[in-house]
Amino acid sequence: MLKKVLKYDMASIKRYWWLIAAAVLGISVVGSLVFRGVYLYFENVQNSPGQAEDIFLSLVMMAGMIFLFICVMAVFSSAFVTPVMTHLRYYRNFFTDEGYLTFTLPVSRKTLYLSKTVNSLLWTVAHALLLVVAFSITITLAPPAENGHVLNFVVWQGLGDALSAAWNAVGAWMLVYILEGILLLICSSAMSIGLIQLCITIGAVIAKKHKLLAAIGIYYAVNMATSTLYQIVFGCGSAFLVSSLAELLRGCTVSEQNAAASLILLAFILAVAALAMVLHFIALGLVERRLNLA
Amino acid sequence: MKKNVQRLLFAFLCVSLLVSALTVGALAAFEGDELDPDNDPYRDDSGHVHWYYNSETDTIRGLGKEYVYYEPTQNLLYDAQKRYYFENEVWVPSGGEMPLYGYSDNPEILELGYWDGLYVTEAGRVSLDALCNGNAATYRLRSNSAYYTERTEPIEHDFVQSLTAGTNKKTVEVTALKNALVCYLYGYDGTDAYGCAYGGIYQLDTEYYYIHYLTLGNQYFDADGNFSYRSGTVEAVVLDEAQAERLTTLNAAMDTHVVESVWEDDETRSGMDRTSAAIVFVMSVGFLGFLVPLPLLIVSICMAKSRYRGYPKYWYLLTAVSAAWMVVAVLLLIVVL
Repeated sequence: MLKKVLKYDMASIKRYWWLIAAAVLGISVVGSLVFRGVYLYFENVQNSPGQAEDIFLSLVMMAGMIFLFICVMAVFSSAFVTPVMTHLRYYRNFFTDEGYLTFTLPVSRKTLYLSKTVNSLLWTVAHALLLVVAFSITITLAPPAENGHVLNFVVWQGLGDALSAAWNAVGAWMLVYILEGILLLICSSAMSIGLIQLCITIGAVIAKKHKLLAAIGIYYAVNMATSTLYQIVFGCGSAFLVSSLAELLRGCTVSEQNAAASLILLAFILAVAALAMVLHFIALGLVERRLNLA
Repeated sequence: MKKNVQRLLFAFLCVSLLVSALTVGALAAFEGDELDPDNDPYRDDSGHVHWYYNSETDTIRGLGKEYVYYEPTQNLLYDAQKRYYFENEVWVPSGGEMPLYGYSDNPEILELGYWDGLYVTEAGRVSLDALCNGNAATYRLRSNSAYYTERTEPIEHDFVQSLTAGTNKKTVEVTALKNALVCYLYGYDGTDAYGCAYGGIYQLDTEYYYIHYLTLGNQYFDADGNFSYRSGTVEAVVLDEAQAERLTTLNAAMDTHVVESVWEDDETRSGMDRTSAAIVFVMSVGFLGFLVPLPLLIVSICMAKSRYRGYPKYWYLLTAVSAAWMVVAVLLLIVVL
């Protein structure tokens, strides 16, 4: 039943998400081409004499930079739209009039809640990939290429060199780090989604009116509390851990150093995963036992 | 409920005692390094080397050795694996407070400032004299790139000998060689820290040429001591097929050379010796890797078995994650200690 529920959850977001994706990619292309055009115009006429021409060139260049900046900000701001859509779907589907229908479905609340979480996670990953594609378009199109080519791969070559240097430094451990990085991103996203859904749930349980406002207030309070707790538990502990580890690893081989680093990262991933699961259980418990739509 | 709480507390107490016992055991098994002697006469209270500069004799004293100013007769390149920065500086009349660095923490050759002067012990002088006179201890091929350095492992003396003593010679225009440089042949001193460009290998059409710089007169070099491509001719050794093949193999085997920077302050008296570091490390891992996931482990097991809380699969998943967390902490202790 999870697949069916998930299918409808994803379909409800897909309708609007493709528009956002198209807009993001379009802005990336347009912004990059405008920047390139301004830059080339500036290069071609920069030797023209006269103060008036210099001022005009500076203004054109500044306008191009500002336009590119606005495009980049618009692209990154779009990252907030997907979570808003998915969490709004969660709120409406559970805690508004839609909730009466949702909870009459022959599906357990556990499955319904899990579907919402997985839906948010999948669209978060999709948007992250979209941002990567947009960034790739910008770094390929924006800098002017030599010999009038459209695409410029200089930045890609630089990234390749950096990866090559990293590979030379740590060898096959780089694959481990990449895998752990991906796992960490997924677990962090799951934890973040779980926290927001928990706050929405608490807001809906506690407040009879203005549930979303209550949820936002609870989110800030919970976020502050968890940040403080994190600083105390992990911040101090990890400061001591890092300083002592640096001393102990001084005489170790590169493999041992990389093994220690990857184990620490793995422990961190497991901690984040455990926290995400705890948040999931608490929210699920509230949905199961405390929710009253009357 | 009261019974469950009592059981939980008892389980927590048992595991805490077990963790403490493991911590003590790990510390007992750990063998720390011998500490540096506190009464090292060559170092200050922080463990940094004391350096003294004598302006009358132009010498630097430190590490129980005397370093005399050295003027090399060839252009030398600092090409060591490591650059060791000493914490204490020396005051010299010409430049004020100046840093010192070398290729190791106990070098025979010291560099004052950044190319402000070389100071050597007797062993260092012998090593550099041999290098400057063409009697390098080792040889390498070194790349021509302006962006990064690539060089080979030390190459065989016979190959170098075959280049420098080659009999098949040809006179070439230096202007033709300007963009034809393939790589340099570098000689290195006995400390493997300093290199000197002994010659250059060039490719014109399909032939390789070797020019031995050390045998050329001053007219072939510019004011900085680099080979000049302005005008004139030079006699070059033409490489035969075997030498060309060997050169191609060596060129392909070049590896990026990065000089590792090491600061004395990082290495000495960082405030934590190995024993203290081990204690802090074990306590940190014990707290973050055992005491933090332990409540999760216990609660998840209890909840999975509880009649009042559903979804045992979810709770057992949390149990597995918490247990994995503790296992990773154990592995970390094993790897580091």
